[in-house]
Amino acid sequence: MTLGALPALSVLLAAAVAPPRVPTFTTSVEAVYVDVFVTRDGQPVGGLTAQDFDLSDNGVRQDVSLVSVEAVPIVAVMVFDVSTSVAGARLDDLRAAGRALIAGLRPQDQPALVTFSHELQIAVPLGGDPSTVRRAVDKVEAGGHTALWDGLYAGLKLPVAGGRPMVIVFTDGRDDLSWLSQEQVLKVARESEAIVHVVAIAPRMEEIVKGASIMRPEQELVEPADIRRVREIAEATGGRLWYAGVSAQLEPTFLRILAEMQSRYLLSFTPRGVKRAGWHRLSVKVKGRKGTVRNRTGYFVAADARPAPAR
Amino acid sequence: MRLYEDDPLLLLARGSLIESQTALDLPPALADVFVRSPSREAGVLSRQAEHQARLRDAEATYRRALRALPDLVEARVRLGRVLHQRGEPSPAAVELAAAAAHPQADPPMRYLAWLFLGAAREAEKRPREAVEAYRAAAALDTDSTVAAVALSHALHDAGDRDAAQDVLRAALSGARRRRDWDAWWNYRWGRSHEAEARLEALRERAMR
Repeated sequence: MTLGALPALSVLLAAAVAPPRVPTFTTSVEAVYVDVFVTRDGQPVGGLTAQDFDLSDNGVRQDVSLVSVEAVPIVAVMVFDVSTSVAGARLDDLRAAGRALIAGLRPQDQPALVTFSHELQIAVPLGGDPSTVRRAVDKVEAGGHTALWDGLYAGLKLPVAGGRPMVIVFTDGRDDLSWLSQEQVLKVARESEAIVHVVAIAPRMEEIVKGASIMRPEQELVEPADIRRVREIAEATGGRLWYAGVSAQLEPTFLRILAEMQSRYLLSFTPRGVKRAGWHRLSVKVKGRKGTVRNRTGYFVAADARPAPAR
Repeated sequence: MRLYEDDPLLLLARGSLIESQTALDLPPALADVFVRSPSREAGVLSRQAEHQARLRDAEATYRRALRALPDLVEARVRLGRVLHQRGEPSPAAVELAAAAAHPQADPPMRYLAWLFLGAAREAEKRPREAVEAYRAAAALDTDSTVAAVALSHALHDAGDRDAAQDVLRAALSGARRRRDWDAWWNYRWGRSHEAEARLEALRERAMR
């Protein structure tokens, strides 16, 4: 898999099943929605039907149907690192990227903005007018330390029922002031319906490899700690880490993430033959074709989760 | 330190210095090492052992300070935090509960005691008590985003997902005045801002 075109996907718990209804995402397991991204040679694969997918829940194969992604709004929560190191041109580029993302959303989609340094703020909650979010993006100022895990937690907790939640996190540094640990936020991310995409300004892996050319053969290359940790969270949700390289690349990167969200498949199934409560490990494959599938690694159902009312 | 080896404030300063250095110089986990090799892995393990040794040193220093001055609330708060970091949340909770209830605890110390007690209760797998401790911290500093995040996460862990969202939205939404002070931030970054005042007090004492 290349850094430029990793596939992605996600799981959404929902009460409704058939398109074109907009799912309401609850803790019910009447139906489970799995947000899937399929690529071949780095390019999204289109034109697949429900019959092309092979989905297992805790190892038990399930009958899936396909939901039209056009019918489901994207809930786009932007989580911006506004610590001191972002000040200057990097902040200007981040504002431009935020504006471009908002402009690329469809009328039914919902944007929101969370900012973090040592301080944390829900600058614009969900349900606001996109122009309000745009103005808030223009007003963000940089300064202070970095509470990355706390900021990501706030982004994950923001979405409520309805839509396909996506959290886009921008960061350029390492966490130095969060109350929560990466392990705590990873657990929340696994239980959340949101797909997390992380956009990092960091050395490209190619550059890291080049710089480490003096390595001996027995040495293994590993990413810097917080990059590895944030990647782990993104991938657990079916999202991915994007290296923007330089801040001028933020805008095209944000737009690529949005395009990916619009190129996904939303699968639905009603779990059969598996225990209801607890962790459900998911596996999704494309039958009889070459391609890479990315999806959320699983979903969690609380023991006391109540079925959603029929609609 | 040689002149005033049982001075509780000096012991407190020494312990907090060790604690800050330890927090700022965390040894990496093995998985975080950029380039792995047997010698680097041995180095990481050695640093982790050193980290634990430093925490034990800080713990012993705070205990000495408390023997000299049992009402030194900050030393008790810090002792509780260090015990938790050493993997002993139950003894930590005892110290932190005592600090939170101490009549001489000022609001920032009481706030930290409740905050750290919440973390210790979470480590003890007592989520409801963690929620109560974080609620007490949030009540002492109603503008604290740190306490709001801690409380929200504890509610989430306790299974009350809606309340976890409500707490976060209430605390973080809307026009808020930017804060540049929180007892947690100061704790995390040490007490260097107080060093000059402490040195001055010592100079005066030495002159007498």
